[in-house]
Amino acid sequence: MVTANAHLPIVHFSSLDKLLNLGRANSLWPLTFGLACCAIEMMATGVARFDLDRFGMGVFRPAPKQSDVMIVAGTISKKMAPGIRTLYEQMPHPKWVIALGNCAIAGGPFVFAGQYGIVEGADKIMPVDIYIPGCPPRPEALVEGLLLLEEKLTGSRRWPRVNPE
Amino acid sequence: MSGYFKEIYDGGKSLLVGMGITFRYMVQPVVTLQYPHETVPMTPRFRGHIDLACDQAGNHKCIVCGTCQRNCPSGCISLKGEKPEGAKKKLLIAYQLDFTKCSLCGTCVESCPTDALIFSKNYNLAGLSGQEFILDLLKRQEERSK
Ligand code: SF4
Ligand code: SF4
Repeated sequence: MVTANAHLPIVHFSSLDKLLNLGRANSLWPLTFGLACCAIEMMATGVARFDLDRFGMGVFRPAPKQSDVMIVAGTISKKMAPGIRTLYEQMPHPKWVIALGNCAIAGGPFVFAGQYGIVEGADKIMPVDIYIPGCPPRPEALVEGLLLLEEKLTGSRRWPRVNPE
Repeated sequence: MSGYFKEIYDGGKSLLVGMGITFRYMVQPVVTLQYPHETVPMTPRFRGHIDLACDQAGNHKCIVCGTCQRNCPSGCISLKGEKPEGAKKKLLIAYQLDFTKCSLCGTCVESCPTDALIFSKNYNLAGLSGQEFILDLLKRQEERSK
């Protein structure tokens, strides 16, 4: 597993950092790319029904230089892994990674003895901040994951919690 | 010169058509679900991770036959049963689901001879580590039956 924050900023400003984090948490721009079926749910989350723009997260950027958060939505094949790693490295700091779906968390149903084509989890190739399980997860789960990331950044949650049961 | 004015006319017309569509959607009812404030109930056939079902008395119905464990294509289920001293039947003492590998195929639910498994309606899981989704279903079932 890759350990997080290999490129932490050298200089810290305590109060300013908090303010910056509040801004960052409410304008997380995701990098547009989908790897498998989870990407369909990611698209569903972006459009009118669930509307990620309500959280300032609907600005899907087509370039890693402009994005803050990478949503790994789907199965990572061994062939795709170097490309994803490059995209991750091209994103400017601070950056976060969300593993969406069971394939991105641990390889999902593609894990079996002797498999040769799949990377068993996004955290094998880069640090992952938020894990969202499901096959695929519902759009609500992705929203929940982004709110959890906001909570991780600012230290508090300003949205109500939902108990599904 | 005529091509110049035709282009202006065509461009203006397509702009108005586009604005008309935008206006129509603006006055239609709102479709957005304000998620953390508003939720929708899951449909009866929605598949969340599997869960042990409760019977009327609040007990689970598992007889520790191990069919679900053997049939799971991803090997997500690990369960353990024990035969208490003098008892006839095995008793379930641990039921662990590794949800991070599950594909919600439903084989376990279909193959269970006593219908002890159901799909939960847990649709908004998210966590800070993958380990959070290795679930202890027996504990979940006990908590629900309380
Ligand atoms: S198939 Fe049903 S009864 Fe058999 S071990 Fe699994 S849950 Fe229990
Ligand atoms: S739904 Fe399928 S993959 Fe998931 S635990 Fe049951 S048998 Fe295994």
